[in-house]
Amino acid sequence: MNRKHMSAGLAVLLSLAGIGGVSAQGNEAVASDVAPSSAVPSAREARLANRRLAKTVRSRLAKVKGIDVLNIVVVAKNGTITLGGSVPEAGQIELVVAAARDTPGVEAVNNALRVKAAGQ
Amino acid sequence: MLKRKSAAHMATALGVCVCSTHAEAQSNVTLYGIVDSGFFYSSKSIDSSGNRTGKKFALIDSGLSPSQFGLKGTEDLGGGLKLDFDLESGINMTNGGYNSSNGNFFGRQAWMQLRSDIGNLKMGLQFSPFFLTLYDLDPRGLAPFGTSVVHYIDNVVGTGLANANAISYTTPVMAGLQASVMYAFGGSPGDFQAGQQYSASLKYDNGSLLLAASIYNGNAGGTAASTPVPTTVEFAGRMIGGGYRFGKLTVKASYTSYKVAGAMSNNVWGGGADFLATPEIDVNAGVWYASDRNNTANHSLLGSAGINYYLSKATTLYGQVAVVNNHGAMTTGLSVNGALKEGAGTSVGGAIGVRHMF
Repeated sequence: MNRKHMSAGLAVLLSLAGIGGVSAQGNEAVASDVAPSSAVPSAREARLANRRLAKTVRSRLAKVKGIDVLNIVVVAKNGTITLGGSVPEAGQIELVVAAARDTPGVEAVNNALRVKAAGQ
Repeated sequence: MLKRKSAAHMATALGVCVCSTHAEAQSNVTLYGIVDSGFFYSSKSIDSSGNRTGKKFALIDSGLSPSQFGLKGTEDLGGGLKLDFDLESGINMTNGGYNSSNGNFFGRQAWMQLRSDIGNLKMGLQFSPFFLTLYDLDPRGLAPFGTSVVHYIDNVVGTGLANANAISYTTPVMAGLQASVMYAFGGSPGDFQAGQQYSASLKYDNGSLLLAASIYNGNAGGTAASTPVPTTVEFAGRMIGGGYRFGKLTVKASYTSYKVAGAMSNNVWGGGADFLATPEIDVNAGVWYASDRNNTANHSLLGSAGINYYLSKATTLYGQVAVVNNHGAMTTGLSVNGALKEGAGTSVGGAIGVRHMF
């Protein structure tokens, strides 16, 4: 699992660095031939990277003692995490924000968490 | 003499000890609650004896969340041990009476709990692990309008929702896993079986994938048989389901069986999705198919959808629609409040309201 993440992360880094040839997509290799230094990740790659980062944050939140992840919604966009949904106790919000902020790859955190307990 | 002296010393030391922990201990009490009310419409209705009574326009209580107020508190006892308590009353916003509870003053929750790193031990009136799993697996947040709680209350009323005389133990989360067991004493002199109830649940959640299963077994009778709203319906319940979160989208599916003594034995398959379009706008939808194992001619299909607009952290505007189709003797309703039961054929309903949490 981690290795998969790492290799995927590496692929993103390589493509960011303009070494797009390794992604084995013909058109990208051509693009990097034309402008090797200005290659940007394709929309699809950016979307995958966002999804991967959101998933990493979610699994990190699930491991922190005292956080109930059930109704937390994590959305990532270019390193910015938006936290939506709810936690059952107000005290958990700062734990969630701190854990999200500490996740590698996260640059900023927008907190829109609300409080809603089980059965509410 | 020496002994007495050392005992006195110890008492002094203890006294100091108790005092110092008191000085450090943080304790607090919070008043909290929900007021939720809205306009309700249904194309058809039935009265208590099952006769059709036509269209209905009404102001209803609790369209999105059960209206309630409560007091909860925590004291840090030191050494990683905390004492929590919760006293919660279900209120009816349309007439000021009781609702969403067993009908008593603190008829939703009335418990105290010892919380530590090795788990939580809770005593008193509480949600059973079975009911809490229903909450975990519902795609629409278990709103009283058009969700799996309509089936729950239709089958077993308040049993396991407000579970009286109960003691439960919940483990800490370990590798994403959490288990909970509950036992409720019947309390009848000379009859250990009467009103005895137990429930257990097991949940796995890694932040993306959710899996949960739970059981409930309860006998009729016992001391809790006197609650104004029935909470000792004799039944055996089984539930299993799961969910997955993809960014803004969460999908869930579940299977629940309610084997009720002397009544229908319903299987309910449900599923749905919840989409947080922006942090302020949530849309969700669910569908539930129910079938009576004793006679499969009795079946129903309930579908519902809702939109929540979070006006602020505390106030939500909501709109919900539901449609139910009943066959045979099945009387699945649209909403716990206003239309818990509907007659044969298709009924359509909607609710628009406001929820404020404090």
